[in-house]
Amino acid sequence: MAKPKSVLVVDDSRLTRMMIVKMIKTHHSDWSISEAATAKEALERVDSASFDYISLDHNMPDGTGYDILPKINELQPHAHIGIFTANIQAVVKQRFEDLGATFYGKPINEEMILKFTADGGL
Amino acid sequence: MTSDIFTEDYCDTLCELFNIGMGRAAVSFSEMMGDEVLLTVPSLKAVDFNTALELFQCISPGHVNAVEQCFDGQFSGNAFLFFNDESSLELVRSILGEGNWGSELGELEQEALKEVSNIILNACFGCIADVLECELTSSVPELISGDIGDVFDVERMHIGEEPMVLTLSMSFSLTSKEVKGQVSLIMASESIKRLITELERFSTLYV
Repeated sequence: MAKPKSVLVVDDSRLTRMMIVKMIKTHHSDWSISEAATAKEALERVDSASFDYISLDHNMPDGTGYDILPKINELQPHAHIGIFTANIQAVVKQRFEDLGATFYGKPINEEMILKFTADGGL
Repeated sequence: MTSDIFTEDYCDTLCELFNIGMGRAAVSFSEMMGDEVLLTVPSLKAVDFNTALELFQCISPGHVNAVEQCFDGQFSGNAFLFFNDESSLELVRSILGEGNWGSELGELEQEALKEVSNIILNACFGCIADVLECELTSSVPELISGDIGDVFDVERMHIGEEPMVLTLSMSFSLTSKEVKGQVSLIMASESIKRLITELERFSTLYV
């Protein structure tokens, strides 16, 4: 039996966090999921615990995904990071992919979350 | 800022839907401009009509340009995309290129402003409709120039009983030029209740 994974969900929208958590829990009820509503909180979480998957929003009130992704990559080199953002411009997608993250455009759906949690190959 | 009936959770949900809509609009917008569009984090305020009028008079005491589009479906109302004069001209310059556009909007510039607003507002309507699984139709965009009283003209709008104003503040800018826009929705209380019913139905899927 596969070992339960740990996930960090970073998004300033409570709705989006709820959707991601619910969709993951539906398929992986034993996984542990933490949430962060700000860029600052996200950095605190990745500094204090290890995660297998991190879903990361881009536009947040106190910082962007661009701002914190390098630090997250440094602290969590083995985590599979998915960018979930409404800003779906090609240039934004390319920039995140260059930073090693997988890009998903909002609105979020179950297929997307299944792909995200499968993509890690963990 | 939330009202008694439009709680923080509903604001969060609607704000996220607008955020997604604006993200979609930014794709079209950046293709028009040939440049990346930077978006800020949106915030939403829900206030009664008279309070909104007072707030707008304080924030934008002078001349504003607003593109109005009516929407109709499970819920209905009037949507406005506001630009101040400076942002309007910057936007027109970005679309039509540098030129002697003067300080007032001519016919071509008005068309450009309406087209951009049409893209932005319809991206927002489309996103709300898609996610809430309902259908919203929208009218042809109309440009209104004047003070806030001219834009929020109750007689012209036919907005129904106890209207409320939902205002989404979000600015978008190009690499070199900053253009600030603000979206406001005016809806009658009956329509707000129908919107809340839809938001509630949607939110319960994820509780």
